[in-house]
Amino acid sequence: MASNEIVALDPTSGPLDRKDPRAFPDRPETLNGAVVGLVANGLGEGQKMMDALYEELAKEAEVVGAVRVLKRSVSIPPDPPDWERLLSEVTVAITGMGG
Amino acid sequence: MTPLEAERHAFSDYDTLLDAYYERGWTDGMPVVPPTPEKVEEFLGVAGLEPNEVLGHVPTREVTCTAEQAAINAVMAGCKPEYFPVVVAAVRAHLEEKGNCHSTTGTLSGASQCLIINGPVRGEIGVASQAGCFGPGFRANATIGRALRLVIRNVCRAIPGFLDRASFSTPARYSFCFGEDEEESPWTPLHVERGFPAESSTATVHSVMNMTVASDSRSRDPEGIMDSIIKEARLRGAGGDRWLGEELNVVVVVGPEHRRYFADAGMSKAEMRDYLWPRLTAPSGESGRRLRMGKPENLLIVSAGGPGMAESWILLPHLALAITKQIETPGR
Repeated sequence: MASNEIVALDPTSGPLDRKDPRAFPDRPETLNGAVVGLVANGLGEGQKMMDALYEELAKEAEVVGAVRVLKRSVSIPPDPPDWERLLSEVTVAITGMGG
Repeated sequence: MTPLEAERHAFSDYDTLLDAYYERGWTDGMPVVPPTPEKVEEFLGVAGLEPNEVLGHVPTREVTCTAEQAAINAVMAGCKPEYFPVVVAAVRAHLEEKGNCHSTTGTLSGASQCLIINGPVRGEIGVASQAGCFGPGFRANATIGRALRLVIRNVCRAIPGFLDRASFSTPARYSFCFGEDEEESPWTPLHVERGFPAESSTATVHSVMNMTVASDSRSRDPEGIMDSIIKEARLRGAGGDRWLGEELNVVVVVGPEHRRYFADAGMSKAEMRDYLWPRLTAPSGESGRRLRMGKPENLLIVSAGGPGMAESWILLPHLALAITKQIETPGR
C-alpha cells in the first residue's frame, strides 16, 4: 500500500432509489390508439411546442386525440379538475420545464 | 456515533483523487479538500449530529440530504469544522418546502442562493460583513457558500445540463455568503426582525434571480436614497407566484455611505418599509415594473458593505421565500 494513499468518501446522494412507492408506471409499447395528455406550464411558447410535439407523434403512431392542460402557475401542479381529466381520459401525458 | 454510510474510494495520491472527483462530476471545477472519514466525523462531532440525521428532502428528485452528505461536501469546500453548524442551518433552510430547491436550482434563469449570516457566530468564525463582503478573500464566506452549492450539486443533483438547466448560470453560484454588519448598523438585525433572539446566530437563504445596485452619491437624505433604490428595483420588477402567494421576499443590502443618512435621520427599518413598500409594489407603468410583495415585512433590509461607494444592492427573488434557520452548536 502506497504511503500517500487517501481514502475519501462519495459526496453524492447515490443512485436513485427505485424502491420508492412512487416509482414510474410501465411505459406503453406503442402509442397506437393512445389519447395524449399535453400539460403546458404557461411559460413562453410552451403550448405551441406541445401542439407541435403532438403533430410529430401523430406522424409516428395512430394517436386518437389529445387532452390539453394549461397550468395556472409554473410552480404548482395542475388544478384538481385537470388532474381528473388527465387520470380519466389520457393514456400517456407529456409535460416539461422551461419556457 | 453510528458508522458513516457513504461509499469509500482509495486513491494513490492527492492529484489522482482530484482528477477522479472532477471526472466523476463531483466538483464545481475547482480543487477540493479530500473528504476523509476522519475529517467528516470531526465535522459531524462539532455539530453534534449523527451521520443519518436528515436535513431535508427534494421530493421531485427523490433526494434526502443527510448530515453525513452535507459534512462530506463541507469538507470538500474547504470549511473548517467550526463552520459546519452554519452549513447545516443553510442546507436546512434551502431544503424547506418554500426554499424551493427544485425550481431555484433547475431554472433556465440560473438563480443563485445567497446566504446571510447573523449573530455572534460571525465574529467567532470570521464571516466578513464589511468591505468586499460579496467577493473573494474570506475563508468563512467563501467555503460556507461553496459548501451549500456543492450540496446542491452533489446531493440535490443540480448538475449543469442535467437537472441544472441554466442558460448562462452565474458566478454567484460558486459561493455567495456574507454577514450582516450588525455592529455598524443603526438597525435591528435581520434575525431579530424574523423572531430569533439577538444572542442567537442564524443563516438566511435567499434565492436570487437578479442582483442590481442602486448607486447614488448625490442624495443627502433617506428619501432621496430610497427613491434611487425604488427606481433601480422597478427597472427589473419581481413577478408574483401563485404557489408562494403574497410572501415573496426582496432583500435590500444597504451600504455604510447610505446607511449613515438613515442613522442621522433616526429612521428605522420599519419606517423605511413604510416608504419603500407602497412605491415598490405600485402597479407597473411609467414608473417601472411592480415588485409583488404582499406586505412590507417581506422587504428584508440588511446592513453590509464597506465605505467609499454610495451603494445599496437589491437582491431580487426567484421562486422561493427567504428562509431563516437558527445555527445550533452543541455546548455553546
